Amino acid sequence: MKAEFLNPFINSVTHIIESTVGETPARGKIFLRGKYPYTTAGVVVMVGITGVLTGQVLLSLSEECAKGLAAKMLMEDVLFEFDEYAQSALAEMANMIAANATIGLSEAGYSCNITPPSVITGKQMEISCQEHIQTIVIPMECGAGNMELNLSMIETNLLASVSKERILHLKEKHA
Amino acid sequence: MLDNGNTSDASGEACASASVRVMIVDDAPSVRRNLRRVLEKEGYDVVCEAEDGDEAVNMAAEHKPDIITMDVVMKRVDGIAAAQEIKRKLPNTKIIMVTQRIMPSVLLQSIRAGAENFVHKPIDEAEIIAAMKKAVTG
Repeated sequence: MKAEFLNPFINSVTHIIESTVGETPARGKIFLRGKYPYTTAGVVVMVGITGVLTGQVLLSLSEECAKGLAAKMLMEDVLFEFDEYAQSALAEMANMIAANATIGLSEAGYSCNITPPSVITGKQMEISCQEHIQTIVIPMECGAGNMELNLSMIETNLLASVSKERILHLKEKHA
Repeated sequence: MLDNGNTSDASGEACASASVRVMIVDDAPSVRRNLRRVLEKEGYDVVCEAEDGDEAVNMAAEHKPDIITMDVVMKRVDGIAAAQEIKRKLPNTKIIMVTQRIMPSVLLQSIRAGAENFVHKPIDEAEIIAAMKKAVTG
């Protein structure tokens, strides 16, 4: 994945957390996921990327962290449940992170749109992507806890050729 | 209540926020809840909420708000189309568009639809209050 895809998200996640939660998150060491599937924390917010790039952004965090962030966004002292409003707040946060990042992507010549966010909750959720789509992880830490922004994207014009190669590879493998 | 020409109670003067009737339109319950809190704290009378453009058009016709805060991107009918329809029926209702990305195309379409002002998401309390005051006095 090119750095010019990554930088808008790094800038966006910091800016949006600062403006919605009122604190500057500490960024951990960015890393590339070595294999699929990977296991997420208890709350995942997923936003799709379409246009010149194709893929998705997954914000993964614990329910405690999600409630802590949502409480600040909803101007509450504490949230006891990850309810409709808390889920909506987290969805808005992921939506804003992705939408804001697409401005930077557009400026770099990669015009993209986003899909509406989906909030998924569960235990030991496993996420898989196609092997040729790399996932870069931006770990963040704030007062409410730790979170990860998982970016799985590929240039759309490459997707078709890579998919064809993969189909041929699979056909050969199973021939 | 503002002298918005939409109701029979037209005093002709800009009044205190307590009598200004507001409708909040946004598909995110958390955003609607935050906006309601901020506006009610400032003394505005939030008369209704809508979660998409279609509902907004119907509710505006029913409640005849003085000011509407309108999300741009929503399912079914978006904020720009809803603003256009509401302005056609209630020309003196002030509309403040609320959006994450104030792109030139969105700006132009919103102005054509009749929107008076814009505020960014995430919503800054001072920014929305300033926009509301401008809508009341402007």
